[in-house]
Amino acid sequence: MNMVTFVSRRLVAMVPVLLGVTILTFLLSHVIPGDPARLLVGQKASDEVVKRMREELGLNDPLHIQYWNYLKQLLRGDLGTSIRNRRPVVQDLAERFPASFELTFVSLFICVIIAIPLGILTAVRRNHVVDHVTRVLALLGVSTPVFWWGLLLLLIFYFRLGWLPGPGRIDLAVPPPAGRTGLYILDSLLSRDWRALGSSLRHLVLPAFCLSYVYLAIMTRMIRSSMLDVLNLDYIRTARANGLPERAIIFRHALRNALVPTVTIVGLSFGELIGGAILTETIFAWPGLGSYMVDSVLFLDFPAIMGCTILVCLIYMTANLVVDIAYGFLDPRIRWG
Amino acid sequence: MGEKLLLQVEDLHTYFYTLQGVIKAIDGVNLCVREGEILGLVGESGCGKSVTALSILGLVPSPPGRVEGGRILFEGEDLLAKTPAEMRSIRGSRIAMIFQEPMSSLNPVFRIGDQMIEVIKLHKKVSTGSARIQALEMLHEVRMPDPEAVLAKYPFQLSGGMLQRVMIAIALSCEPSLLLADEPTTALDVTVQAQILNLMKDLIRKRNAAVLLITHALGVVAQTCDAVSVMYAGTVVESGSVESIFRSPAHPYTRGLMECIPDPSRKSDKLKIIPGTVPDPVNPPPGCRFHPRCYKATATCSQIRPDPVRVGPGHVVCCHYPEEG
Repeated sequence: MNMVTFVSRRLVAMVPVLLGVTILTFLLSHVIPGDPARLLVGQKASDEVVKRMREELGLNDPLHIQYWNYLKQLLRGDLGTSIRNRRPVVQDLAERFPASFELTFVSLFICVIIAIPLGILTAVRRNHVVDHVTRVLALLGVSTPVFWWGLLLLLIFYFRLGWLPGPGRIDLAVPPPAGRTGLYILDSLLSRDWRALGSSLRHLVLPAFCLSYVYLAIMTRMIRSSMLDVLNLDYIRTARANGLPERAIIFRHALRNALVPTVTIVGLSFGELIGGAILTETIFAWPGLGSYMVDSVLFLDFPAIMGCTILVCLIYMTANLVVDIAYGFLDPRIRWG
Repeated sequence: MGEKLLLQVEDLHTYFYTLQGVIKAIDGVNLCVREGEILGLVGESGCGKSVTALSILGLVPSPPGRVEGGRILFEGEDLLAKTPAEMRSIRGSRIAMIFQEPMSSLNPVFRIGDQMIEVIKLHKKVSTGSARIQALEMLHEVRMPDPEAVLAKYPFQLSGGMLQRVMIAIALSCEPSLLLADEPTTALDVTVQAQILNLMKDLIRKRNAAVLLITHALGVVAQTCDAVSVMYAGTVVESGSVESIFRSPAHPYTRGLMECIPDPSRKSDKLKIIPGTVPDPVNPPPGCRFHPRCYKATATCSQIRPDPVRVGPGHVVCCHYPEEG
């Protein structure tokens, strides 16, 4: 089976999952107590107005007709209008998504470039000083709540030392870079706006570190243990018996096999972080999906909640697809199996 | 077969330091392999056969293992005195090894060709193209059907017998003068075992290389080897030519092993066994290690470790009361 068949199979398998997600989000909006029509027109509106709104929204139709209409609307890329700010939900998401994406991407990037070498090092130098220090740091990362780190980092580096900027994606005095993607780093690079680049990078440091620490700890330990597993396998002994240098054994023969579990974690973390970095986004006033979702829930903003849910599901599934493809590249048994 | 010594292991000790105590996996092993000779190393599981091979290659997992004493002379050079880099250049080129489990002995994520070419390039310092041609020739020599296609395959796409052929091809690709074969046919189907053994024998004879063939099957030894060393609990108890050992085994343990081979012509009801079990490697019995299981044992056996005694031309046994004839 070649790569194209492999990927298209995975793509086809996404369709039923997406359908399931739409059914769930649709039911969710009908199970939660509260009348969307009433919410839309406001508490003070007369019953007459609410009735008209219900008619307009199609809430009196049978459930399956309503679902069908919802699906049609969804396929046109219309996620409805936010009750909170009366703007199309799609527009809100388009503004929020790049902020979350940028933060998540940078955090995971930091994770991967530190965790892989550190994981290898601690596996090869097992029970040496580096391993013990890493173990303590990892334990600290896993067991300390994110908000505590966030507040501590802000307190030290922003309030006390003043080395790094505080909340937000970019200094208020700096205009956001011009560009379409909404990813400040990419946009400022493309438009050669070095001032915006510097400011947005500095703003990223603290939240990205905060977000990456937990995952860094998990990933390092995971790479360490899968490296240790692989280094004990027969084919590593064969490689040694064939006289291969230790460098080739670790980086070529062992690492590739040890990366499969790591890729899984990176993929899942991406899905988890992009809509789930609620605490970090709140503490650093990061205008991302997580904080948007919390605000929507507090306002019972159903269209926004549903839009977020579907978007996060899509991201999760895409991340999993990428993970699957990466598996195929790393391990031929998965590609051909 | 030349008379020149290729490999000489003298009084080798390899210990494993575990929480349960020091495991003396190898406790005074002596071995000789002549040029072009196939030496069978026989013994029960856990008697130290594999550790002997790993010690020769310098691949004893450390920690917990360590070679604690003795000499390993290979082509006149002491391997225990070599630096890690020097050992690496010997492994795979002058001494090669094949293992018991062909299915797990090749890296699952690389093509057969890549794994063969990597080793050939490493030791012969040739270009990828010429390494590829040599890999094809080797696959052809191990009688692999359609070698060209096999180069592009992954290990999981081949059968155990095919993979063992690949392992042999890799091991012999750099013209080693010694091949360590650790139970190379144990994991294979009976029908394939003989094929692989014959193939190995042919290729070895053609190259005038020597083999240390580790096995627990005396049948394999009789069929394949020129000489035998019998191991028991970390020591070699008897060694000699295949003929003299099979005709007149002098150690009670060797004799016991021979009697354990079922003989279809003697239809006795029960299979023969050697009474007792292999001794605890942390607290081996004093004196002769075999004495608790030996029907001839006396007080001497439980106190004094027997020295090697010559009982025939090239036939040496470590026993106070060697069997006659």
